[in-house]
Amino acid sequence: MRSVGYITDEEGRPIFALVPVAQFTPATRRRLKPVAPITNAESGALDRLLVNPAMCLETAFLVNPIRAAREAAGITQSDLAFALRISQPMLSRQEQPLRRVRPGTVTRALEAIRRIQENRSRPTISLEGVLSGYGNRLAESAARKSRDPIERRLLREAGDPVALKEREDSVRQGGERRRPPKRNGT
Amino acid sequence: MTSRRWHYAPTPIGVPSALLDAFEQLKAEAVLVGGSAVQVWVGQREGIFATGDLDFITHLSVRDLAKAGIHVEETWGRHVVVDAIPIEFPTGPLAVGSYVFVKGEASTLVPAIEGRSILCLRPEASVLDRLTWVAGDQLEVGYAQALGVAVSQYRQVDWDGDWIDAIALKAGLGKLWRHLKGELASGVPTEKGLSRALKIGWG
Repeated sequence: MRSVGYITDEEGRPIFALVPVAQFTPATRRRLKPVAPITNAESGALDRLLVNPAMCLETAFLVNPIRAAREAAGITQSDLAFALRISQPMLSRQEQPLRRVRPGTVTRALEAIRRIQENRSRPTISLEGVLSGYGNRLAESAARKSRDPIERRLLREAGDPVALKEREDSVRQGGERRRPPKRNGT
Repeated sequence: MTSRRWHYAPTPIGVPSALLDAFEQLKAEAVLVGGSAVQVWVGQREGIFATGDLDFITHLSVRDLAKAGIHVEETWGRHVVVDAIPIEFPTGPLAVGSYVFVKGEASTLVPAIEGRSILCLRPEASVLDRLTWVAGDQLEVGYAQALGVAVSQYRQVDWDGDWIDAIALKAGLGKLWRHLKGELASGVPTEKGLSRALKIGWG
């Protein structure tokens, strides 16, 4: 991940982005054009940096990659901590500025953020709508379900509505699990 | 006081207290599977989601339950009735198709109605479990239940799409899962998609 730092104003808002010179190549510089004239706030921050660079740089901080990715994805700290199965205070510690976080920790967090984003982008589907589209096929197939005869008898005695409609000849002795046939066809 | 937050979005399930007591006493890590696990994830108990029994994968036998104080009038192999609810202990281990789960890989805690928590097959695994009905017995209801679990849970923060992709392949359900995944991504699963699923089989 590219290193980026910020110079902030008095209220902690980032005003300037700092990138290592090695990453800011002449070609990159030629491509970049200012999108707007410099504002008073930017100009003031730049003045303070020139007058007292040490003071101003004290407010600069390296962006924590976990926090940056989480905030960019619009995920709360609570949700990410929950998904990572760690406490929120622990995630908060991992997200502290300038904190050295293990690469594996960052990878796991970024992976979780990607997963959450992916899940949230999935379409909402009306289950009732889909099932009604299947019509009578579901009820008919439920009656074909194979079961252990003892299980079927117990369920019928307990009034299970599905077992009551099942055919007697659909039998799966011993409740063996369904699995693919072996390669030799047995 | 804040209420506990559960992984995924489970619906509390009714389990006889006597059975939960026995599991605790016998230190059994029983995992709820089958149609009851589907109910937990879909949140419906009617129609195609109705089921009259509770299935648990555990090392326990019905005779062990008797030792823990559960009244067992008669044993029927893997079956017992507790507080008028039929309980089945399907043959273990916890597996789907040709893939046997690593311990702890496929279960998560869910709430029981009476206040305690129980282990339950996680929803991704529950989807694959239902797809074995489709591959093995060409049952439409299995596909509908798999779809129901996925639709109800796949937007949750915990849903792990990479995990289900990988396990589906190992279980011999790769093609069926890819088909269902495609239908889900389209946002409009169809009856034609159901018919196609029934022809896919294992692999």
